[in-house]
Amino acid sequence: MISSNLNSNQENEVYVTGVGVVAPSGIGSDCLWRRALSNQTCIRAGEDNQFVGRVSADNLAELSNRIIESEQWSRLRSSDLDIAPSPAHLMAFAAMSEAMTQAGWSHLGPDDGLILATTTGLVTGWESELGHFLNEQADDPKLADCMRYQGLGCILQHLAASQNFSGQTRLITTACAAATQALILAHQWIRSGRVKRCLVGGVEVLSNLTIRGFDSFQLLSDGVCKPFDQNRNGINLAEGAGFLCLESDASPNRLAKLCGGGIAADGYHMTAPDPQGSGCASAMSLALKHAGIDADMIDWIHAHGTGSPHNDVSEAAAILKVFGDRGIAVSSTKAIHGHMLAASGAVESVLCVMALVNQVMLGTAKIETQDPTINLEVNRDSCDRSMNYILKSTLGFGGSNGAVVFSRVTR
Amino acid sequence: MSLRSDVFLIDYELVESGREQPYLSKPKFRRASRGMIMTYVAVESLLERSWQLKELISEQRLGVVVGTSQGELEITKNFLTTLVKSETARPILFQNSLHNAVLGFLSIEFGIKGASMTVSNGSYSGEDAVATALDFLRADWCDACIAIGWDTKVNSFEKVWAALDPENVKRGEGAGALLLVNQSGLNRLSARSPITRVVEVETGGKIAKSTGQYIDYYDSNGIASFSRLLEVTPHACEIQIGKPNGSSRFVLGPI
Repeated sequence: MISSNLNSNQENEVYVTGVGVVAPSGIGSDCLWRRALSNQTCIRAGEDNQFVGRVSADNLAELSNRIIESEQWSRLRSSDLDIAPSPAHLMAFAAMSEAMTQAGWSHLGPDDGLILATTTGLVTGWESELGHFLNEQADDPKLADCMRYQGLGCILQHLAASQNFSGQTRLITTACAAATQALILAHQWIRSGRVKRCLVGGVEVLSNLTIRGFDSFQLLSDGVCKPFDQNRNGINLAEGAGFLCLESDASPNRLAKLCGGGIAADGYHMTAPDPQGSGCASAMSLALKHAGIDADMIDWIHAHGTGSPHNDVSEAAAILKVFGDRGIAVSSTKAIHGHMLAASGAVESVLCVMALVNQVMLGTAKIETQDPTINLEVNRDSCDRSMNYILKSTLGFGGSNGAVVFSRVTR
Repeated sequence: MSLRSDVFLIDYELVESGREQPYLSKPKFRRASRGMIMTYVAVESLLERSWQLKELISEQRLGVVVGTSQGELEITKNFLTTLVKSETARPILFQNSLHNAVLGFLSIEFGIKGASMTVSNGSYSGEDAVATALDFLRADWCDACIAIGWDTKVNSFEKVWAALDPENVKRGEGAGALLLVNQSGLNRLSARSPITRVVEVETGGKIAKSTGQYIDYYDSNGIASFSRLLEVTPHACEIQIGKPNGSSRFVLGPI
């Protein structure tokens, strides 16, 4: 809904005032930050011998106890929704709460926005009822139960209901670029005066559908992924949630400024990125343009860097196209936490914000010998670094790309 | 550009179930889903009628927003059942099961390289696609943007949906597409007269239930209902579309 008292003429500045994460590293953004600082991986071999980043059963149990007792869950249950919390609910609620607490937001109001990114949503409900799909037992109540919440929009509706929120919402499902695109849309909503504040996040769960699906493309690594390494052979799928509170006011809680972003498409292939990195480069160039800065002002690029042979080559080509061969520092943290697909842009943007706050440039775990065809200055270990601007890029299936620029704020 | 910058509707196209049939046997669509084909037909028709759009607006300044509630539900079901029955994960089924697959397909087929996004919000997915296209155009991320809503039926699940729907809404399938431009786009397409000016689309949250018309069509039916109502209403008005759980509202203004 549009609120008429919002200023539509002034172009507001957009600040990050709170962050929250649930990841294989544990509950809370600090857990992930500590892992990233020490280049310590959370990737483990699962029961099927696939190397994945899984949120532990203990953490999910803790979140379940915490959330079932929460006011938010009570609101959800008191609406016409009757559902048991899924892993997606648990992770999203916890990351959302952490971010809102840090920002000092007690609730979402009519002038606020809520934008979520996911590609799996409540898919684990489907998988538990696979037999019913197999037999198409339409009369079985269990099939009806999992179909009720099959649509990806359900998780967004549940988050909104938990906040008693009736303002502007949007669910973005643009594959692995979704959360970055969510940040860019939120930036536009705040800048244009559509909303005063916006809660932006991504959530993704590990599922048989995605693990077997990516495996069918031979995209999964046989160990911990090695972004930009000459021996890299695939990605590590992971689950988690990341949320960021964005607002226009000159809040004392400002952590970083979201300067702008760019969205562009490859128009090249359904599952492979353009080897020349055309769409990714366009997204980066547009992000710089919207941020109002030149390429040489970026101090560090937090790359998508999945460790798949094609992604890393394409992204490197895009970086060279936009930033030239001046040797800009580039890192990927995928070997720490894995690839959270639609949520990756949110979780990794949280790392970018924390990097600006702490003035620490993160490393690239597990790289041993850099691919000689990737002419980038890949940063291997975390180090103190004075940084004013960071660019975060993402690439997704379908040739979808997004890039955002964050800047340091004086606190 | 500001929140209220002008956005104009140039053209629209509806594709009902069955129009995709002649395309199914064409080699180009051998690996495409029905959703991909229905949206392809909608966009192809728009571009054919929209005089020299691709010549007048660069591929980087043409955007697309796809809205779908269920996505490729049938293909997802096929992927999962194939996996269980034969222990085989078929790459083409996984690729096409993704919500973003239709957008990727359209981007490749029509050379659309501008801002593009897939959104989903139950029976408001089509409206959210239009609202997002307005955001794109007002932010000047593109000069023209195609907003699409689509969904397909899975016949074997119809009994389940019927059991879940207390209002017993008749479900259908299809695709609808709107071609929208901002002032810059309109200047470039100077030979085209806009149908109307789209001021706002209200979606999301708890919208009061309306007494407006509801057209039994398909889940993301906002675009279809909107387009059909355009044919019988003045072009500077508010169109309110009743939905199973509320309503959406298109605010149109004079040109």
